[in-house]
Amino acid sequence: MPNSLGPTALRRLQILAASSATLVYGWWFTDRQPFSANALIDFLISVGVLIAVAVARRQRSAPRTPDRPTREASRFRAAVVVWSAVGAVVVGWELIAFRSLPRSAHPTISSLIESSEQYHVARLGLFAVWIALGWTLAS
Amino acid sequence: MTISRSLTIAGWVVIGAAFAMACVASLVSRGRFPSAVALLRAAARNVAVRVILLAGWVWIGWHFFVRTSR
Repeated sequence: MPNSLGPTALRRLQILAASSATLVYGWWFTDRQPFSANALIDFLISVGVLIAVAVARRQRSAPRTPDRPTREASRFRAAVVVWSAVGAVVVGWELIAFRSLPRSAHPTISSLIESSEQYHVARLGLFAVWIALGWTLAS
Repeated sequence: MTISRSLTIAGWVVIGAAFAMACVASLVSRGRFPSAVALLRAAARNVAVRVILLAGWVWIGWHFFVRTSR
């Protein structure tokens, strides 16, 4: 079969295939019973596959410096200060809420997210965001 | 330290608004004000930082998909 796809089209096709496979796996994985051995095993498979693929891609790709534009941004230091402050406030508020009871009156990030996890679609969305974050960090 | 219910929820609303504003600022700045993801990517270039960030990522997944109380 002749290879009529250009590099860009091939790359898009790969991303589409990987995204579709991830969502199909995620739909199945996020239906597992919490606290079960199967949930733990499938979770470890997710982590292992993502890190293995990311490491393989990192080794195959040419050396890149994607952080250079970030570090050379005109407001890089302001961004570091702002995002660090937001992160610190989130952690601090989370700890204060965590120490307060009842949980329904003092929601934490976990309780807010877990309240939406009763819906399978919401769990799939959370899985997709989690996978995207992991890929960002590992690749 | 304990706080009232309304103050807890108001705090999350304010934090959410601040987070959204920072996201919008990074979007409209066209790269001058890097996003949180861009900063994380830049930080993850260091292997030790990457390992720590990935450990946190694994914990988040374990917490919400294996140990979830849904």
